[in-house]
Amino acid sequence: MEGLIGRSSKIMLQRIQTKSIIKPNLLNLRPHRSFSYSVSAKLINSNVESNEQKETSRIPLNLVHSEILRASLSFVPKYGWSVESLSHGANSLGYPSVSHGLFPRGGVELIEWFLEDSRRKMVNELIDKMDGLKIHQKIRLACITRLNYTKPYVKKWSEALAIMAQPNNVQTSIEHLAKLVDDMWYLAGDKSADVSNIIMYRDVQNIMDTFLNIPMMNWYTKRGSLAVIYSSTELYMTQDISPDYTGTFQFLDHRLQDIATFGRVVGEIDTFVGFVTKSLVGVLASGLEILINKVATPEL
Amino acid sequence: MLPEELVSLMEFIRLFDSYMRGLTTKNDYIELMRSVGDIAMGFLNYCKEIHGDTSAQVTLLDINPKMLDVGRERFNKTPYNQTSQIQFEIGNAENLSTISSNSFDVYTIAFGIRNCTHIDRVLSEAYRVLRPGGRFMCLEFGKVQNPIISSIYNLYSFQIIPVLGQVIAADRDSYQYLVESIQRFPSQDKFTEMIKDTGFTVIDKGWEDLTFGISAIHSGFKL
Repeated sequence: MEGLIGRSSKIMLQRIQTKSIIKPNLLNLRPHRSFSYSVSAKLINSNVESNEQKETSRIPLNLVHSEILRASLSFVPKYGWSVESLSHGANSLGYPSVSHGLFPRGGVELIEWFLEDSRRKMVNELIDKMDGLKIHQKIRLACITRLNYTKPYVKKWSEALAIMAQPNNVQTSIEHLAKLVDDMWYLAGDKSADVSNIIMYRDVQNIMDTFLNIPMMNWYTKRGSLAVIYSSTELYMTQDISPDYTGTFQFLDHRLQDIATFGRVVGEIDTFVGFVTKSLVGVLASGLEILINKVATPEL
Repeated sequence: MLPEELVSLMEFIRLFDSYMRGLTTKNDYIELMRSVGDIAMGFLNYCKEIHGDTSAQVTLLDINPKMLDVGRERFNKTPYNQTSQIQFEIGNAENLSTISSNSFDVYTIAFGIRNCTHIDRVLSEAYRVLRPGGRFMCLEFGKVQNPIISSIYNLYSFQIIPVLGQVIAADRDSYQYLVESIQRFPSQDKFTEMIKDTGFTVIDKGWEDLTFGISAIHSGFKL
């Protein structure tokens, strides 16, 4: 679990342990973190724009990888998350198709880059839009923003989930989910500088009042439950045929409601944690079932 | 050809297949010092059978015209005889003056680079001749890391191979040279450093060991 703890949470854990800090030094937290996100994203974006006119050989080395990956994404709806997309992407930039060898693990690298890139885009997009919203609204907005990035590839997303579920890829896919959920909660974090900042669920429809006495478990349950909500919603989206994905967003709202309900009903932390873990396993299992059904039945 | 050469070559071709997967457009491929053309033939067959592509161009280059003749004979027996897919050229790997820059997608050299006097010149010529995004692949003998296997291998190399050469081909000296040239060739990581110094982008480790490091496939991209 250590490796999955994000930067915000490490700082938060330190705050809890010292106990003397009531007003955490947010000047250290927010600007630093947001700065690193927006700078790195802007670097990538600005280099993309300025290099469009140049020959392919003059793009700086460390950006060629992301260039090829970005170009490959447009071929994903046709060729899936595979080496074919990568070689078409490389071709579209003027590189020979052997350049797919830059990504020795093949389609997985494309998926991982897509997850990373979407997460950064979500943070950049939402970092200024979170004012004036309640926490559960912020979480909802973050989920919706992130789900929108998957929309162009939703037909092939079940293939991506299947690849991510493979044993050698499971670890990185869980890490990406953990980072995503960490960022969502970071974005939704209350800006007020009092102790209730640690106890975040107080604002979220009175759920989990019983967990307030153990703030650390709160951190895990918040992220765990959001991971379950987000991944089950994404799974729902892969087989949602409602116009404009209204079904998906309804599903999201229902899940957010469920957490509120269960939070009130379930009185004990360990039971809730168990529920979250089982739900995550259940999500993965149902994902597998959907994939199996997709294989068994023809694509509509 | 030594038995381990043969095994490594087959492994190289198999890995080459996985590297070549996803070929979509016309690919230009230059192969050095292997004008016997086994890899080239494998490549063309692969393009035709798996991708239905007959526009791939292969250039076989060697400093020795007689090797090229052997290659021509081999290819005459194949259907590629009539097409323009194969070209034979005489040239020095250290100075590819007849080949323009940025003209090939793939450059391979199998068991040839240790015979060159100036390896760094071969590498820089390879860099020059490749297009941006092109791949350099080199199959060559390497150093064995495992000490037990290393001692067995050394014993075999220095005691058995020259004797076999004498007995079978009546040419002890060539095989003595062979074993000494293997010994003199830099280890896998030093060679990867040389590849990086030339300007190639190396992914991950940069080489793959075959049979405990007796041979290794080195790879780099020109970006």
